[in-house]
Amino acid sequence: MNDRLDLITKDKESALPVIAVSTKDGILFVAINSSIIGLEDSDTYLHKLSEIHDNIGLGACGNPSEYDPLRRQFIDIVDRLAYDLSKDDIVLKSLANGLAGELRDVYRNPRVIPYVVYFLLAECQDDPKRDHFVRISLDGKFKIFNNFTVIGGHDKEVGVLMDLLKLVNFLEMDWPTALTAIKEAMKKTNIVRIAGGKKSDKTVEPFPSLEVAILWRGKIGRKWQLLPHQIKEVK
Amino acid sequence: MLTRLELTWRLMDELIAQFLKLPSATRQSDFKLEDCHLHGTTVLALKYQGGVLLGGDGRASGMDFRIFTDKTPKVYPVSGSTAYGLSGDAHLGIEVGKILALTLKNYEKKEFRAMSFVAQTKMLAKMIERLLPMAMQGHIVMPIFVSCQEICTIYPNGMVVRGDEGYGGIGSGSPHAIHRIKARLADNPNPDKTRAIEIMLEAFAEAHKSDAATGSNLLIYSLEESGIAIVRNDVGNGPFSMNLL
Repeated sequence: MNDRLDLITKDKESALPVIAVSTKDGILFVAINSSIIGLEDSDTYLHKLSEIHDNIGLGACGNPSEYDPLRRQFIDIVDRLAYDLSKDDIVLKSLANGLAGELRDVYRNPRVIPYVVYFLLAECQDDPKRDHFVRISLDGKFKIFNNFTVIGGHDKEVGVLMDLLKLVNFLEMDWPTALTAIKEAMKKTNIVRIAGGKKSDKTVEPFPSLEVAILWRGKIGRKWQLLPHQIKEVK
Repeated sequence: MLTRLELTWRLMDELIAQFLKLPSATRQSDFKLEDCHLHGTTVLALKYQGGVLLGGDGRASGMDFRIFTDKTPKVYPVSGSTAYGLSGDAHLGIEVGKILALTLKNYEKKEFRAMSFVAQTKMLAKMIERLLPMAMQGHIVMPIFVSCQEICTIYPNGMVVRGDEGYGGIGSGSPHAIHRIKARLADNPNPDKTRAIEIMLEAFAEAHKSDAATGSNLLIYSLEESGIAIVRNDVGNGPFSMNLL
């Protein structure tokens, strides 16, 4: 198993982090997305954040050609379930378990190269204390969190970022304040430098491109909204 | 892996299989395309400056002239910019609307953009075409599909008729209502919203007077660039009321 981990370590570390936090307004998703070149045109870049169900959002990082088919399949399963049962009967925990199972099967199969993907799933409830987050790693391990979570390939930096975010009380913030707080926390880690690549080592790039989305709390029907990224007034 | 079309067709197949079990499926009726619009209801669409009105009455009738309810919605928004009005077999029609709404939402979630109106109409027309054997056995579904600029009526053989004159109607009350609309549009072919609502209410009143299967409770939506809004709702949250979105 360790050999296989070594095999994918290089790929793994290029997976830039995705963060989801539970705020007063709803669940805020922030992803560092290196494919955003032109601004405000949502068709031109590879999305890392996506709507799965009315109150469930997904963040993915890793290899796009690997996570995108999984995301599409996942959406089909959820839609089919919502049609057969009802919209309120979608349970995040069991869906996440299925996804994690698939990743684990691929990881344990010695004949294929494992996926290099990380998934973050979040479910928004009317009561912020009932929000929950699921983090699935490439070997199929999954863990449930309460207030926030981070995924990313660089284990050490993700750990540092988690510790920094633990100190902030996001539940009392609205989303622009929470976004600023996340940016500040990211600046304290090496993540921004890793995301910027070699160029930003010399010329100090202010910030890599962010993809931001929110699941609005208390809204009836579909709660997902992709916010225009790099919001200027929030500096 | 399921693709979008596979999802739709698999659901449609299940729907058709479910209907083939009904005893009426063995009955052969004299099916004529030109009689399709005579199914008991009135659903009307009318263009105005900057949008389209789509309205339906609330009467569900059938089985030896019985009225089941006067408070059923017959028009449903299926996406952020389009709405669907049905006539004919209510269960089949609502189920088609559900599958359509599901498919559009599925596409939007996967591709991060809404499906174009042409593709949406095609998808609906293909579904109705697949239900042609049902229609020939009496379970006719004939929908009207509108966006903020276009009105399309879809016949049971999958034919799409565009309402380029600025109005459209389906159901047994629609011939009476459309006569009234035509007369009113003769003076003013491009009415504003207030005038369009007046014309529509007048047309529904006429249909209610002349047709037994048209009730007086109305549900009217307005579709504009900015979104879909309710103009009038008498049916409230009736027994068949459901949100397809």
